[in-house]
Amino acid sequence: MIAWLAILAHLCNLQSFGVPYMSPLAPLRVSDFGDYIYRKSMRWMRSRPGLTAEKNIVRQRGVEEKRHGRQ
Amino acid sequence: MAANKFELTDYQWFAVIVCAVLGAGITILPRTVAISAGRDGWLSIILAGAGACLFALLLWLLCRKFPTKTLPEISVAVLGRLLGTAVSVLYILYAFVLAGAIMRVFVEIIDTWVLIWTPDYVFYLLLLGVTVYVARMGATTLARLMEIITLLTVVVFLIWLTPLGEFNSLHLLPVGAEGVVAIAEGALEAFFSFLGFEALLVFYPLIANQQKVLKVTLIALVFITLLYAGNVILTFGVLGVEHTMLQKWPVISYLRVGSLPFARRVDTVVLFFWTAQIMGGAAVQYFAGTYSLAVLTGRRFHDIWTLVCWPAVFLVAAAPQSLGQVFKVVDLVGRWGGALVLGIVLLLLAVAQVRGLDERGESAK
Amino acid sequence: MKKVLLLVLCLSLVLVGGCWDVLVVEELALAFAIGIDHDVNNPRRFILSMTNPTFSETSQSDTRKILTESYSLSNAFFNLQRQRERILVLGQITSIVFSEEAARSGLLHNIMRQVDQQRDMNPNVHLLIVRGHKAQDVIFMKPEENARVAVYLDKVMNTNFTAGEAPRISASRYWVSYSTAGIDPVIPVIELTGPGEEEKKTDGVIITGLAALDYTGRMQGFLNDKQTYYFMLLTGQNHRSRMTTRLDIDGQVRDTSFYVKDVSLKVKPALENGRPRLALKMALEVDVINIEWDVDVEQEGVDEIIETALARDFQGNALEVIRLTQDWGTDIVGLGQHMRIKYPRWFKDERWRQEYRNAHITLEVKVKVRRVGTLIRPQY
Repeated sequence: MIAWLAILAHLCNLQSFGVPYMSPLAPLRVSDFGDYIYRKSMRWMRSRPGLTAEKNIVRQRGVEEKRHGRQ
Repeated sequence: MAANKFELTDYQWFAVIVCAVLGAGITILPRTVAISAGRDGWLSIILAGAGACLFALLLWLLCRKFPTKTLPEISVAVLGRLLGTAVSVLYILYAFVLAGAIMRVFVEIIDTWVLIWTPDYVFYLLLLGVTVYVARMGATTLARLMEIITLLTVVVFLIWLTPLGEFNSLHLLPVGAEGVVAIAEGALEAFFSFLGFEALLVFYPLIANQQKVLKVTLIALVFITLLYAGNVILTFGVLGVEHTMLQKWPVISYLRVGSLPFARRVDTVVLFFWTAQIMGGAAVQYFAGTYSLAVLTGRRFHDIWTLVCWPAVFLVAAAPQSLGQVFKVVDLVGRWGGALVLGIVLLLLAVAQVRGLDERGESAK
Repeated sequence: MKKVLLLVLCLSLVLVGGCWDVLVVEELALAFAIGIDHDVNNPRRFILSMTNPTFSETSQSDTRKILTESYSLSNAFFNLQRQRERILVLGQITSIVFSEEAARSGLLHNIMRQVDQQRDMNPNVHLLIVRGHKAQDVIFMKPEENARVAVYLDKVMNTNFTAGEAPRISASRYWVSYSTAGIDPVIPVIELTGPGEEEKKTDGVIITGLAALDYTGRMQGFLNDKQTYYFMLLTGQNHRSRMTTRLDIDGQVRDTSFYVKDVSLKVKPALENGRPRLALKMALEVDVINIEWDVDVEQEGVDEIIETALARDFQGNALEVIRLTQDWGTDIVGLGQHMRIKYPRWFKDERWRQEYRNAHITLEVKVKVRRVGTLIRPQY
């Protein structure tokens, strides 16, 4: 247990490009949970992650192509 | 970046308080309040919680005057260099003693119920190792870790409910028959379990949204009070007040009555997860102590202070020779530690008021 | 710094992992059930019998049964360990069987007190008292239904609790009712069954009732199986209760069996001239399975007649149970708790032991019959 805590602490300390490694779990951002444990379908993701896309949160609609779609 | 790297969000602060306060006290709480207040022990806890909220209010009033200063800086600014440093050192010692006491109580439980043969120093070294590592990394990492630990605690409290099959509400009736004096005495005894949130004095400048600090702190304290009172109610209901008073560790006895489909001993499962809470509490206090030391030396050398101060906590944890002495230490820390911090805060508030010191006013000049 | 951390982590993996202390199941003597008997030669000693499975292909039998004599429980376990090639582990004990002499003489409480302080024993063990045989006979029996005695005992108790035939009494419930003011402990009683002479019965056990223990943990009285039903109704343990009784209807005694769907008991304590008075009100909802009465159950008034008869029956039998407990001085229903709640200053645990014998207890029963079986004429 103690070793697990040590590893967890180390993980909490990591940052990648300024974004904490354990985000969105810590700091807690429930709006970003769609991408965390299980990825939501791209169509349902209406917003970008909060920590990287401050002002440009809302994604453009109607952009997803059909899967394997080729014109 | 939306949030400054060095600042704590609301939920992070909530998590820090919850982890700092919820710790070793919860296991002895039912017996301490039962001795003073009998069946109405849970009312004592609610009273103690209200007291803690008032205490937090006082802390906030002080911190509000100095939004960018931590405790050592406040005391130096208000009382002058010599006296201010002395007061800060007192607080730092208190923080270390609290961390040591938390660890010692937990190790006593583990030593009695789980790992009987492991020498105590192994536990202290392991816990201290992680505590030092966590404290070195700074406040934001600490806060993130605490967030995850609070999520773990939710699972623990679900497991806490397993003995409810034996709950008998007749043990808790009649309510209020013990009298107000007894309930008040019980509240005083229970105060050790609420210590920990005075870390606000050190963390205040690090919190992002200082407007909401009071609200978050009070919500956290109310949450903790409900948890403690609920724990006492459950223990009394399942074990009965008389049998609770016989136990040295009533909550462990309470947990052993439960059963899970995959685990024979619920108490060891809970203790396993509870280690995280204990480490959290010790880490917050250790960080508060070492960060204050770093502030005293000019906001530098924090990493060195964290590597150097752990023998103090080790000594405090290893000092009591017997369980009786451990309970005495708990009593002492609960009464005099709390009084010490209260005294410091009142002193600083009074002097700052008298001298008209207020950082907020300065920026307006 | 990273190298130091790596070194520390590796060291801790090796030193703190505890590889040398691992307990493998095949090397353990898992005690599953223990029995406590009096030692007739020496009143200060008792005999502990134990059964545990051997988990070994090379052993002669499936289970190992041992007897040991000792003065205290810890001593008994140390003695047991000295006889075994394996490490004795107590955490899996599921039943503790006491002989009736042990229960009556106070040995039971002595042992239970020591069980409370054995840190690895499970507070949810079943407690049993055996009549007519020694506890070792129960531990050493060869049950037909299951090769392992302890598993058999455990399942008998669990299944009967689910079927509403016996209350669930665990060690922790014993300790709590012993310590708590205003309620006394109760323990299920079993007897050995099987064909053959009394001495030779080893086929299995039958739950024959409950033992009522007083505030010192000594068995004072015995409730038979029918009285056990009423006890369970009085204490609200109506988990799937099924009962049979004989109702007096129309001048004839008729066998009736029914499900008790719901039970509620209200206790109203009072003090009259210093004498405690308890007015109990019980309300039951009943679903009749079968009644020996040749009548058209859909007629008007039949339900009411059955309800009245049932109410009279409950009242009579439940009051009889209470009177018996009053004679024995064992407040197993827990009426003292209600007195304590209403009169916290008057109530004293030592005083209640005497007062309970003289308490004036009345019972009013109200029965509601949901339905009477599935046939229009049950005695066709």
